[in-house]
Formats: sequence, structure tokens, C-alpha cells
Amino acid sequence: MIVVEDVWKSYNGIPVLKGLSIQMPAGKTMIIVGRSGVGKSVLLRQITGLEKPDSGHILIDGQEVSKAHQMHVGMLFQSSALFDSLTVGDNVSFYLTQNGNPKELSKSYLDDLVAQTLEKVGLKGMQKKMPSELSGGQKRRAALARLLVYRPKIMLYDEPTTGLDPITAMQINELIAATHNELSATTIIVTHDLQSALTLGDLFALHHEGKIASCDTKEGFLQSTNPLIREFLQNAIIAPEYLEMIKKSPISLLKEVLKHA
Amino acid sequence: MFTRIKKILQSIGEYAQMVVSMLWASFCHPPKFSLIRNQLFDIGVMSLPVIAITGLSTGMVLAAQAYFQLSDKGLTGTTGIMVAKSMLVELGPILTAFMITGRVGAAITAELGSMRVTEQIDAIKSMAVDPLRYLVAPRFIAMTLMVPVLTVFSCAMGILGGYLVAVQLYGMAPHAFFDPMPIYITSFDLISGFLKSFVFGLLIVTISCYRGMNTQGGAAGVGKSTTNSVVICYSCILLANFMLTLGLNACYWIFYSTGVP
Repeated sequence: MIVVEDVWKSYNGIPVLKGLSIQMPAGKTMIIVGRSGVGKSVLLRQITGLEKPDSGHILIDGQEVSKAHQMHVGMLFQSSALFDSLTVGDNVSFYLTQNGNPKELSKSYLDDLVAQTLEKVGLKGMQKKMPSELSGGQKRRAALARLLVYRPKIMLYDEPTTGLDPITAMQINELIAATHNELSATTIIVTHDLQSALTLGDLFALHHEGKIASCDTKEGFLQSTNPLIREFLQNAIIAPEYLEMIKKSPISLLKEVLKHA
Repeated sequence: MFTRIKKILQSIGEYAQMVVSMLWASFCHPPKFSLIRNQLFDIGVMSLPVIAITGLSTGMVLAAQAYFQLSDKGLTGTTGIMVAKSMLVELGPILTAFMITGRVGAAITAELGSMRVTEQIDAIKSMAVDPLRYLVAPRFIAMTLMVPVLTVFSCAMGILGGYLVAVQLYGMAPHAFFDPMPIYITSFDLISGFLKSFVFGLLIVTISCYRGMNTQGGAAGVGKSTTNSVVICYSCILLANFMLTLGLNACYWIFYSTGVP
């Protein structure tokens, strides 16, 4: 379980996170939505330990975030952040070659693992390619493979479908769902793509002005009377079935959710 | 004005902090040999052509000028010693440092800077790998080892260039060119050139890595950081050269000579 308690973070004196608190249950997928620039990615950076909050606490399984936790946290960056100077295969095996015991990791073992992982994300036989030779969608897949190889307990996705065409975005969503099912990892997805969010999320949080304005289940989120959420939903592009869900009664909504689950 | 001074002092403090971390990462927790080997090749072997051209042409010009300027005074016999001493004590270290700044220092800043702005350094950190150990320490070790070696190579090429012009072009006797060298070139000259090149290597790698690791602002930021890094390196090399020359002269008077002029 991840607990964020009264976290404050400023850049050049401008507060971005303003006493943000939220609890993320283990094994669930939480979607964080909100307008650009409110600090959604900043929150992820605090959880990974890339940055330290000015004040407040971030607890993972009851302990403050530390370097030891980084071994169990995987983050898919918005830009994919593949290492330009390494091949796709070397990118995927990076974690193990740097953190693993060299005596236990033979080249053939690593090669097999990389091949299997790349196949899993639909990049079979692309080990020797350089990141610059990949398309945007392929880069996201390769970055996902780089995380899958060390099976983190917490997966963080920073706008995983931004800049991708709808079909590729859907494929990435399927991969995220498959990864979640395989690893049973606590998953946090920051996204503007509400359509993707609705297909993946268990819990939905609205990040507004440096705080979590609301945190609810999918049904609760869609039927919320919170004006901020209503405004957000009205301006989002959502598939017709979800639009209907927003209008329906809780019982028929539950049936719809079960049908789509 | 006050803000600018504060910013400069803050940068110096951060630079000093990073140099200490760099030393710790290089010696207390050294990187893998394969990473150092790659950097030794990139910095050392790949710089040989440019260093050869610089050393050879400088030695040739020195010999041509010395022979031409001294011929009417009957002092052409000093051409060899002039070329050798100038190359070993002053021109070899400084020209090598300048060429390495342009070829390697700029590349280090640009590479690390582009990794910073594309979140690659964050990705390294998020996988519990220390970027200083993985990216900076191999460059630090390779640069401090290779700049003195390249300086020796540059000096050798300079003396060869001087020999070609003085002996092959102007017809000076080969023994007249080489014979005074063992008499007038002292161990102090060699130590002096070596020490300068070592300090220049340290300056180039620390400044280049610092600027690269602290790059902000996308592609434009990378360009700005690279330009700043090269300018700061050149300025620091020139300033350090003056300080070292004064210091070494003082040491010479204390340890090698009987009287201070």
C-alpha cells in the first residue's frame, strides 16, 4: 500500500503539491487525472524517490521511500526514456546487468529473457535495433519491456498513451492491463486519456491545484456530483457506452460495469 | 546583480559537491571496467588523429619561426631545444586540453545534457542505478588517465614536426637538433607538463559532466549548456595554466635552484 501524507513540493518558490494526501491500495490500479501542470507527474517523481518532498511523508508498505524501494518501483516515462546509446536488447537487460549478480546472469540467460520479454510486448526480434529506429508506440513497448524484466511491485505510468494514435494507444492499454494481471503490481497511471483510464482503472483520483480533490471507484467517479469532476468529464472524449453509464442509475450502471469488466 | 552572484556561488557549491560525489563514485564504488574501457577508447584512441595534427603542425610552425627568427643571430642551433621545451612545458598540455575540450568535453556535455532533458537520467535513477557511477565515473577515470597520455603523444608529434621542418626542410644537422635536449630538458619540465595536463583533464571532465548533468530546457538547453561548458573549460584552463605556471616556477626556485631571481 502506498500512503501519501500531506506532501508539499515547490519549484523556485512556486508550490506545485500543496499538502497532497492519498492512499493507494496494494494490487489495485489507480488513475490520476487532472489538468496539465497541476503536478501529476511531480507526484509520481516523489513516489519513485527521484525527488524528495519539501515536507510530508510518502510511505510504501509503512516505510518511507528509500533507495531500497527503487528496486521494486518501475516507472514508464512519458518520453519512454530509452537509453539512446544502447540497443533495445541492452535497454531491456539494463536493470539486471547493473543490479544483478554477474555470476548468476549468464549471457545466454539474459539473451533468452530479453527475447521472451520483447516477444511479450510485441517486439519480437528487435533486440539489435537502436531506440532511434523505433516508432513512438514501439518505444513505449520497449520501455515497458525494460520494466517487465525486473517485475516491480509498483508500476507507475506517466501518460502512457499521450502522442499515440488510437489503435496503438489501445494496444498499449492492453499491455498495461496484461502487465497488471501478470505482476499483480500496485499500478498508478497518470493520464489525460479518460477513455484509456476507464478501461484500466479501479480507482480514480482527480488532482486539482496541488491536491487530490476526489478519489473514488469508477462508478462513483462517473456519477460524481463534484463540479470539478463533472467539468472534467464533460470536456473529455469518452466512448458512448461510458456516456450512457454516467446517466444511468447505480444498479444498471453496475450491470454495465460487470459486462465491461 | 545580487541574484546573479548568488546563482554563481550556488553553482560553484553544487560543482564542488558533485566533484566530491564523482571522486567517491570513481574510487570508493568504482564502475564496471567495460564502461571505463569504452571511455578510454572514445577519449583516448579516437582523439589521436586530432591531437596528432595539432601537435605536428604546432611543432612545425615553432621550428619554422625559431629557425627564421634566429638565423640572422646565429642561434639556429637552439631550434630543437626551443621546440621541445615549448611543447613539453606549455604548448603540448594547453593545446591538447583545448582540443580535448572541443572534441570530448563538448560531446560529454551534449550527451549527458540530452539524457537529462529526455528523462534518461531519471530512468537510470528509477532503476536504482547511480547515474554518477554509471555515467560520470567512467568518463572521469578515463579523462584523467588519457589527457596526460595524449599530451605526451602531442609533444612527441610536435618534436617530430619540428624535426621535419628544421632538419628536412631547412637542412639543420639532425644531431644539432636532438643533442641539446637531454642537457636542457630537465625532469622538472616533464613533471611540469604532466601536472598541467592532469589538472586540465580534471577541469575538462568535471566541468563538462557538471554542465551536462544540470542541463535544463530541452534541445535549446542542451546547446546552451554545451556552449557554456566549452567557454568555461577554456577560461578555467587558461586561468589554471597561469596559476600552475606561477606555482611551478616558485617550486622550481625552492627545490631545484639555489637562488630566486
